[in-house]
Amino acid sequence: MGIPGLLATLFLPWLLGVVWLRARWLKADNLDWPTLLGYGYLAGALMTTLMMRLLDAAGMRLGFLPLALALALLIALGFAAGRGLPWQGLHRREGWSELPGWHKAAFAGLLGLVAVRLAGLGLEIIWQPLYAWDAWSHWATKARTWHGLGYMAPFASYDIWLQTDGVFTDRAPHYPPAIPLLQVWTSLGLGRWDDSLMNLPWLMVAIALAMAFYGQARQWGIAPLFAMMFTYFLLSLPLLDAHVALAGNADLFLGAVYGLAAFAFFHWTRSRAVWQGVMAILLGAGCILLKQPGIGWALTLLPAFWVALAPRAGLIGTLILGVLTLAGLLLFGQNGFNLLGYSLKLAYTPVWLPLWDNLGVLDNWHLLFYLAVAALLVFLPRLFAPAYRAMTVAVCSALAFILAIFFFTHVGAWVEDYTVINRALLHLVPMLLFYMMVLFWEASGSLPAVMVTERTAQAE
Amino acid sequence: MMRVEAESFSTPAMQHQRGKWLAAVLLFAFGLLILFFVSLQYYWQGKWWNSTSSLKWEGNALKLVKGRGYHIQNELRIDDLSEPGIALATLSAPAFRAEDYPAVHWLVSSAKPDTKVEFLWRTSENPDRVFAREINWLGNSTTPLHMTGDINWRGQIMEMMLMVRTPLNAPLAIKSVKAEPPLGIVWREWFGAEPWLGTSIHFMGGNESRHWLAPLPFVAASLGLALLGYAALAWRRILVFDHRLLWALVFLAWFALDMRWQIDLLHKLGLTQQRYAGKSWEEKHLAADDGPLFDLMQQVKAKLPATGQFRVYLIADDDYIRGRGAYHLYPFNVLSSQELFAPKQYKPGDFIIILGKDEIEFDVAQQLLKGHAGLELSAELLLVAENNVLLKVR
Repeated sequence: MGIPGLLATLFLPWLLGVVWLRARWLKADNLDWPTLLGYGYLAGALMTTLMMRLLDAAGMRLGFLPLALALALLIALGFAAGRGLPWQGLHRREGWSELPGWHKAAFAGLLGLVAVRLAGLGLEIIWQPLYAWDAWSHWATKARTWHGLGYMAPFASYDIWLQTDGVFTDRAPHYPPAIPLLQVWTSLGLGRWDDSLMNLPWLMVAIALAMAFYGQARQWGIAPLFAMMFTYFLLSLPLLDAHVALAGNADLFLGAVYGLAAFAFFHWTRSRAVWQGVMAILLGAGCILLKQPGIGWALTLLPAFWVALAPRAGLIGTLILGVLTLAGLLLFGQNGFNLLGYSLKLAYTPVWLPLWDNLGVLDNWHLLFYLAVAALLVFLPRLFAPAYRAMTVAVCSALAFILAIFFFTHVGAWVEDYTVINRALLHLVPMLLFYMMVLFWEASGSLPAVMVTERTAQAE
Repeated sequence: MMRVEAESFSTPAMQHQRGKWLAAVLLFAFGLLILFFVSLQYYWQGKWWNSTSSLKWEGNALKLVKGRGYHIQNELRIDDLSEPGIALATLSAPAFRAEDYPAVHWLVSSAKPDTKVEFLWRTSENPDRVFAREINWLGNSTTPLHMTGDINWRGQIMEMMLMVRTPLNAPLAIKSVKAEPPLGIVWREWFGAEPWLGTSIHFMGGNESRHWLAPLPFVAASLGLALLGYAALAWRRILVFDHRLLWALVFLAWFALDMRWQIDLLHKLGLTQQRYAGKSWEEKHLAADDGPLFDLMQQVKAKLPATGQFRVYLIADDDYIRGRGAYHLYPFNVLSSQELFAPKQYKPGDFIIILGKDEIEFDVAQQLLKGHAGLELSAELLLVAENNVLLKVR
């Protein structure tokens, strides 16, 4: 199969996601290409892993042809579901032709910077053998086994392995299978094991994230250059780049999926567009497929949904729930408990210094967190205004989740040695950057596209 | 904000536009320069402008006076200690003024960085005394020592030495030693090339234990200065306030940081290409840091049956060796651990790989594996490579 097979493993999931996003019942009639392609890849990749699990559960051997046929069938069904929607009717944002020449030049320059970055990171993936510690101790162990055996052999803890035949073990046997399944799928297309090329989906995720970010920014009505500048900011983040170059960990996937869910949720709070709401729910839930903490990230969206649907009750309820959760942890968490497959013990660890080092001194995130603090201070009075309330609750829930883990559990020890802090932050960074972009953009008096349309309609 | 708007550009308007963007560039450049010089003056009062360049000695200039080792490819490799558990490498007659060189960087690496390493030096002021500073490890390499503030780092330096103390669990390579002037330190901290490290997935710039002018806060502060300068100019009506100029300043600052990161990425990519491009996946692993381990595991795999209900136990002390060795063995059903299990755990036909565990013995005559606490297990020896073995349980 070789390279054509490898390319098929990258583009079949993409096509799968794209055609299903155009299903008529999603009512995604104002989609633009970047949004469609960005959401299409990530949704398609997750659907591919679910299909692999389904075929495995049905007793079928993991092979390229059966899987490709199954995906082709799903793609055909997706086409049928979107029948009648013209492809040439995909929304084109207005305003490009009227842009001044220097805007176009600056846009092209930023696009060039992003392209150079992605090309370099892609070469790192192609050349570098599997390098990152967790990548080979937590994830690729399963990929190698399932690829070698042709089925999803069960993984269990060391204790169970010692007492039970027919199970395998590694350092994270309880982790969900989506990431290794994507590596298996790529290897099946390639026709052999290659722990460099099997990580090409990480490049695809970076591309999809950038497209979705830019597309959703434009859907918001943000000018092309401003949207492109923030897309460049996102792709330029050193920690994010490192996770593409040293591919094999789940954190980039989780950050991208959670980010796309959040962008869609932000849109839904304003427009109530069906497809945005569905994407927010499905991709939010999709976090659970990727990594244990994905359950926590998925839950952080619930208060925001509550506030979006019932603002006053949601805010009060969220506040009460937050206080009760904290009190419960303080009362009952001292002796340790199990959550999301992790053994947690409650203990306050003042991790201010590692936090400052990693956000403000080491160049992990460029100026992102300086800008975030500036945005917080400048826009504080408007953060809980009706237009921003639900978005702010989503961001605050995510921050509260991560800070509670850092400061109040034994994870604080891993924050102090810098091994967890930035990888966990990577999960929320795309969402945070989008939120900041919206705040800065609207501070200029510019309105989101949906509101402009509504007002124009009212005026007419 | 950069809104979509049609702008007509008459000649004076274009000049005004150009002037505005030029003002943004100048403001940021002034912010950078002012902060740069103020910082240098703050850290190294009156000494930073001395145009001394870095001093560097390769490892082959070092003389090993205690311990055992050898020179190879400009390096000094120390592979054993003398009584009482030390090795000492000396560098005679470097002769430089301590005050001109506030940083000393011993480029030392080891696969097992648990060895205590100290920098020793003598000065002309006090030639009978030897001063010492412990050097920290970061990953498998040592970090630079910043000597400013050390009251014994003064006058003419007569001799520099490196003391290695027990334990020495793996050979230690001294590649070079560098004495750096202030501007050299700043240059290294900003543009020093760094390969991908095990820590790169967690944080950036991990090779530095102390940041004097760390790029991020430095650029952030410069941006702050530029924004303040712009606010002052707008307040005095020297410049017209335009929020697009604020974004131009933010972008410039971000871009400056990112170009530094891009250069670093290109350097990393060059190293990756040099090492791995054009190789098959097996050849890449052989060329990697753990190439010998991969090679050994390939030999082991060649001895294992292609099918069958057996298990593989990998025993090693080192966490990395254990985990990475196991990774290379999948899809065989492998478990890695630090110690042997009780004999009843093993079934005939299982395999045991023991990597560098000197306390475990194999009696070839009796075909008996002997571990701690009287543990004995009947096994067949399939492979021996240095002090690593593959056994089949009988």
